[in-house]
Formats: sequence, structure tokens, C-alpha cells
Amino acid sequence: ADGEITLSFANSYTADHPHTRCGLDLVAERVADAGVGVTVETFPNSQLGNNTETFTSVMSGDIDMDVQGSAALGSAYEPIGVLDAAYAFDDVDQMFGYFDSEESEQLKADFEAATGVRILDVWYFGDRHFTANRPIRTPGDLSGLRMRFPDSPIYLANAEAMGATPTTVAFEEVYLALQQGTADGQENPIPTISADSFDEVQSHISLTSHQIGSQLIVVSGQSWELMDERQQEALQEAVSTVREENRACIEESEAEILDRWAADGAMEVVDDVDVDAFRTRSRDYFAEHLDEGQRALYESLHSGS
Amino acid sequence: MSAGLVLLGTVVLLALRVPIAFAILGPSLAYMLLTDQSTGLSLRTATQEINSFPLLAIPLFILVGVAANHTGIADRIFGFAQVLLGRLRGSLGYVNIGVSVGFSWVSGTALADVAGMGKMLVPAMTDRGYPKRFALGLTAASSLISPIMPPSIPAIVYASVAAVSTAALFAAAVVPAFLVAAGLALAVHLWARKQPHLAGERATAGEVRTAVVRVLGPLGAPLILLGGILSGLFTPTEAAAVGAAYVLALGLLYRRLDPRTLWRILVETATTTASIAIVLAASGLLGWILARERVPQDIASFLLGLTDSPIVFLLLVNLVLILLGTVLEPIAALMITVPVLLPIAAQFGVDPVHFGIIVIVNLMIGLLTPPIGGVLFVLGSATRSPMHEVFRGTAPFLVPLLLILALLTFVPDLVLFLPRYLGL
Amino acid sequence: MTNPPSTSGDGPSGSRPAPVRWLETAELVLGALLLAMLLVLMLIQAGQRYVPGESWVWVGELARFGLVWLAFSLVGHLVGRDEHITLKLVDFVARGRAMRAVWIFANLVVAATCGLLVAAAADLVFAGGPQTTPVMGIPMAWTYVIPMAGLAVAVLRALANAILVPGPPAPGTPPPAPTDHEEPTR
Ligand code: NA
Ligand code: NA
Repeated sequence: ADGEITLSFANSYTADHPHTRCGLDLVAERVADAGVGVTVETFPNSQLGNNTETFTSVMSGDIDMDVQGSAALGSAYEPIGVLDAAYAFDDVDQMFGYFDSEESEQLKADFEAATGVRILDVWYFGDRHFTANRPIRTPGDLSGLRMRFPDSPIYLANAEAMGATPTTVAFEEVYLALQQGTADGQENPIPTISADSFDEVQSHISLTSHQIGSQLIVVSGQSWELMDERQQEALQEAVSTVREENRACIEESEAEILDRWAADGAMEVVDDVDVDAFRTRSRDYFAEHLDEGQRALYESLHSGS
Repeated sequence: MSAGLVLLGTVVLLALRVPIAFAILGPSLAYMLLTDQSTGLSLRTATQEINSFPLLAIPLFILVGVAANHTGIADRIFGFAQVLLGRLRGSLGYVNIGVSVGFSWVSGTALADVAGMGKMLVPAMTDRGYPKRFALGLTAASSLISPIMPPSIPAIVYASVAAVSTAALFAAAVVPAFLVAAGLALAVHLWARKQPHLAGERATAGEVRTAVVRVLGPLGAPLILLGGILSGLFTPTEAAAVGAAYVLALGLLYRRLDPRTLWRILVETATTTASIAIVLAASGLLGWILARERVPQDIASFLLGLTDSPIVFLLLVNLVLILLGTVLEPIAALMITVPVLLPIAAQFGVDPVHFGIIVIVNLMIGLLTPPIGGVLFVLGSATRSPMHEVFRGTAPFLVPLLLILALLTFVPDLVLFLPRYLGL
Repeated sequence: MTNPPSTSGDGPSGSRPAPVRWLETAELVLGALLLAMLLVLMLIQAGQRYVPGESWVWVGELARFGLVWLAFSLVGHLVGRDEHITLKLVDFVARGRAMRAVWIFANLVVAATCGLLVAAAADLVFAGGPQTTPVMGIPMAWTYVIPMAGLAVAVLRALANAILVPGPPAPGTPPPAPTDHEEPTR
């Protein structure tokens, strides 16, 4: 098919989050510049529904494009959740490398077959770290702490893998829960910790980097088929070229925030974490607890490192 | 089909006696069909709106209020308020406000208890020679203390829509609720000065002792609800559950809770919750359509082009909300306007918690005004009084209420002082 | 002081045929059970904070769905008793035939709206996608069964109102047992 097409592109981040300003907005700009008759309309900030809901809408073709974590996608196609398992990747380059590799094609194809949704590319979301009111240098330091994790099977498995006692608190109530001690700590990327002011109610951030946060850019299969080849190429190109700028945006924001914390002492940055201990423990745990297929996938993600 | 047509359709259906949830859903579903959305999307979007942890506090706080109503707690507060305030001239006026303040700590809505309050307080006042119109008006006006004072159902809904902390909003509402009580008390004082026959009477020591003992149990409820939330023992939703269990236990202790009463409490709470939740769900679908049609952005650029003064913006908001509040159900009005107005408020530098209190007080005042004042309707029906009679009595009390609204609008510190002090 | 419960209030239809009464009881029992479930789940959640050991993460998820189910399980009941939050301004203006026409029209709108939503629910239940709920792993399709049933009952109740019931109770003349829930709470 050819002709004009308008695509809706949603995410659950605020207008000034890197995934909006160096994400959605840039893609919309690039696609418009390509002049192939595709207009991208952006809907940040959960305007068209929360995370799980927008992905269902991408499956049903009501929303054309979305930014989603693997854990959320795992609710529709379980194996993909493994990409959010603790220490699945060593660093961002390895994670990008995986998505560019031949091996990832099979996973993307299986995902598309199961959900009717196409994965265009991956963007970096920032490394996830622990915050609490004391340093967490080894898995043993987690004992006696109730750590807030998102309520998703893979995140809860991560808690167990690293030796944490998970408690689930709705995201809206995390700040209060930390302030009042309903939860003792939580884990998130640095930009999120800062944007939601968790630094006001937590004293230490321990740089465990237990998850290389990734967000997949997905497009509804129906919408994809409506586009002609030139349009498909332009969209794919836009999403993929934005990947590096988006990463730079996230890393810049991480560095800025860490500098600010160092300067004003709002948060003590613990960088002498025994990451190897966390990594070994997690990888041993998943080797034992994942089923055959998922274990092979999990191990392939960081193989060679 | 544009968003404007959807809204117009809603207004027409509302006027033709279609329940508000379906007056919203009907045109919204037509929009979904005409714009070729998938069949399931409308219901998914509507249910998603109420599939929310903060909103779970609604049925539980309603349960607290309904259980308190059925187990005679208001009577006990009434007795206590009488010995506390009885010796003032025009004492029953102050008692009326005092009972409302006391009951507001266990009730989150105006309509849930105004019927019971009316049946208790209006005869008590007319028997002692107070004009019926005054009794009706004061009871109606002071019923607004319940939904403002925490726990507050509108505050829970606002917190959920605006993604701010329910606890912060609860804390922010305490001073405004007491200001409303103080404003009404001042009105009673000015009125009572000219009523020499309404002299008060002093309670005996025995009466005081009995009243204090009878109110000790009910006093535990706000301690659990607000103490639990503000100290961090519980989230608001959990506190509501513990509070409901406590009030039910009190009912057992006072021998007011037989299986039949328990059944009535559960049914009344469940039907009340459902009637609110369906409106929330319908508003969620309408909100999706407005977002899809980029209505919030259009209104934002219109307002930002109109003025750059936060004061002018807040005056406009007050005007619009007061007008909407006279004709629209408050929760629906809140659900529809907040997603549109809050981002604009942020651009004007208005604090979201402060904005929430302004919205809530505005919409609650709408409960007291024709054509649709819910409080006037329920109170009229409970006391067998014509609605215009209730409104004539209520109208003078709108003056202090509007003055307090202006005060809260332009002195944000009145609202924000307590949550800041508590570090929320 | 006690409020008369909505069960004893005189609904618009006066006496009801037996199947309607059974249906009403079933709706109310389901609603009351779901409410009791919410209360128990939230008490468990509150208690978990203060007892050591694993917390049950599914509690919060089940409670959230409980609220959705509670709302939809009673849609029909509220339609049947004219207890949805409604702007009843027209009651003071219209009389006789005009009132009857408005009453029929409003109930037909409710029936049509609920009918469309039943179709939506059926689509979600029977053509449900592969998604499951995050914690309990229940297929999302199942979570729409109660909404589908509740909305289907609402269609029937709205049609019955339009055909069998002459109209709403006259305004300004409260029924013998004063109903505090003419217009439910906000
Ligand atoms: Na009162
Ligand atoms: Na209250």
C-alpha cells in the first residue's frame, strides 16, 4: 500500500524524560524529514493508557508504536522477559550487540509470531541500581531489608536471585513507602531515582548495575503492513539512528545527576560494590531456576564475556 | 467525529436522565466505533481506570463511613459535642458543626452521612426553637467538611489521577477543612448574637463523664486512619482496611452489629462503590478520547495565550469549576477536568497538591447549589423538606465557603504548610 | 441512627417477579463477597508488613481486580433500581407521557451502551490475546468474565425498565421509608 499514514507513538515517560525528548520526539522529526508520507504523532506520559494497557493496544492495532520493557512484553510472550533478568548483559554495548546479532532475529520472529507485534530496535534505559539507607556492597547486605521491586515475574525472580526480600508497592506510593519505612529500599535507573525524588528519602545508592535497562521499540504488525517499503525503511532508520543519541542523552543525564549528588551530598554514591558476587549469585540462581529454553537464551546473552 | 461532539452528546443524554456513566459511555462508544478502534479497546480502557491500587481505598473508606453510620457512632459524637459546646449561645449551631467535624474523620463523602446527620440534627435544632431553614442550611453546609477533611474520596481520586501522594493530599486538606468549620462557626456566631432566646446550658459533671466515655471508642478510628497514614504504619488503602475492621469491631462491642446489619453495611458499601467506580471507568474512556484528540494541548495553548498570570489562571479555574460543579457529578467533573488542567497548572507553577485542594473545595461547593446540588437533594429527601427550602437555608452559608475558597486559592501556604511540615 | 439499606428501599418497580428477585440476590451476594474479599486482602497486606518472611505479592493484584469486578457485578442491580448516579432534573419538569418517553429513552440508551460493552467484553474473553496478569499469571481474558456477565444483566434490566416499569418515582414525594440513596454517594 502507499499514500499518507499517521502513526501514534506512545510511552509512559514525562515530556522531559530522555525517552521522550531524545526518543519519541526525535523519531517523529526524522520520519517527517524523510518525506515519505508518514506522520508520527507522539503520546508521552501514559496519555493512552498505562504500560501493560498500551502494549495490548499495540497488539490490537489501536496504538501503532510503543516503548516497552522486556518484562512487560513477557506478559504476552514469556521468553522475552529473560532480557530483564539480573546480569543478563554485562554492559550496554553487549546489549546493543545482541539486538544487532543474527541470534536475536529468532527471538524477534518468535515474539512477532506470538503477538503480531514487530520489534524495531532497542533503546538504553540506564543501569538499575539499589538505593537504601545503608550501603549494599554484597548480597549479604540485603538481608533484613524489604526492597521494593516492580510486580512482574522476572523482577521478583531478580530479587530472589540477588538475595533480596521483595515487597511490591505501586509506583505512585514508592516515595511515601520509602519515607515511612514501609519499604527499606528500591531499585531503578539513576534518572528515575532523581525524577521521582527518591534521593530525598534514601541516603545511599549502591552501583550494582544489576540490570542493563533496555526498552524495546515495538510497532503493530497491522500498521507495519500498511506501509510501503520506503516508509518502512524510513521508520526503521529513524528508530535505529535515534538509539545512539538516546543513549548519549541517558548517560549525560546519569553523569549530571551523579555529579549533583556528589556536590550536594543528597545521596552517597557507593561505587565499591562487589559486583562479581552479585553477578555470580544471580547467574547461578538462573542456571538452576530457569527452564531449559530460557536458560539457554539467558546464557547466550552474556556468553563470551 | 470530534471530541466536541462526544461532549455535546454527553450533555444531551445527561439532561434526558441517562445515568452519568452511560451518558459518557454512549457517545464515547460511538466515537470508538466511528474511528475504527478494536472492539475490546473501550472496555479495556474503562476497566484500566479502576484497576488501580490507590483507588482501592475508596470501597474501604466508604465501608468505614457506612459502618460508623450503622453502629451509632454519630450519636456518640453528638453527645460529646453537646457537653463540649452546649453552654454557648446558639449552641446547637456549633454542635452541628462539631458533629460534622467529628464524623468527617471517619467519612470520606458528603452524601453518605448528610441524610443521617439531617435526621439527627435538624429535629434536635427545631425542637429547641431554631428556625428549620437555618438548621437545614447549616447541616447542608457543614456536610462539606467530610469530603475535605481526610479521609476524603475526592482526594483519593485526585491523587490517583494526578499521580501525587494520597497522604500528602490528606495532610494538605486538614487546615482547609478546619477553615471551613471555622467559617461556618463564625456565621453561626454572627447569627446567634441576635437570638437571645437560644442561650446555652452547662452540662453536669456526670453528663460530661458519660459523653467522654461513650466517645472513647470512636476516637480510635481517626487515630488508626490518620495516625496510621501520617506516621507511615500503613498506606492509605491499608489504613482504610484496618479502620473498617476497627469500626466493625466497635459495632460488635456496642451490640449494634447483628448479621442483618452486617449484610446491610456490605450491600450499601458495595452498591455505593459500584456507582462511583462505574463513573470513574466511563470518565477513563472519555479521558482517552480527549487525549487522542489532543484536547488538553489545545486548551493549554488557548489558556497560555490568554494570560501568563497564575492568579488569573486560578481565577479562571475557580470560575469554570464552580459552574461545572453546579451541573456535574463531582467525581466525574474531577476525572474529566484534572488531566486537562493539571499540566497547565504546572506550567503556571501551581503546586499539584495545592491545585488538588482548590479543585476539591470547588466541586464540593457545587453539591450545595442548584440545579444539581446532591446534598440539597439528599437532605431534602431525608428531612421531608422541599429542595428550595433547603437551598434558601444553605445560600447564606455559601458566603463564608466562597471566601474560604478564595483564601485557599491565593494563600497556598495555608494548604501546603502541613504536608511540608510532615515532609510529605 | 441507621440508614435504611438499599435492599429495603422501594425500587421503581414495586413488586418483582421471582427470577428478578433471585438475580438481585445473586448480584448482591457477589458484590458483598467481593467487598469482603477486598477487606480481607488489604488486612493481609497491612499485616504482612509487620510479620517477617515472604510477602504475598499476589494480594495487591487480586484486590485491584476485585475492585473492577465489584463495580461491574452491580451495574445491572443499579440499573434495575434506578440507583446509578443520575441527573434527575427532568423529573421536576416532565409529567405523564413526556416523563414516560424520557424514561423509556434513557433506559434504551443504557441498554444499547451496555450491549456494545458486552460485545467488547465478549471480544476480550473469547478472542483474548496471549497476555497474562503479571503476578498471578491468570489469562487477561478471564478477568473480563464478570464484567461481561454484569453488563449482560444490565442490558436485560434496562430493557425490563423500559417495557415493564411505568417510570421513576415522582420527585419531591419521598417514598414511605425515606431512601437515602436516591442519588448515591460521591
Ligand atoms: Na452538620
Ligand atoms: Na473525611
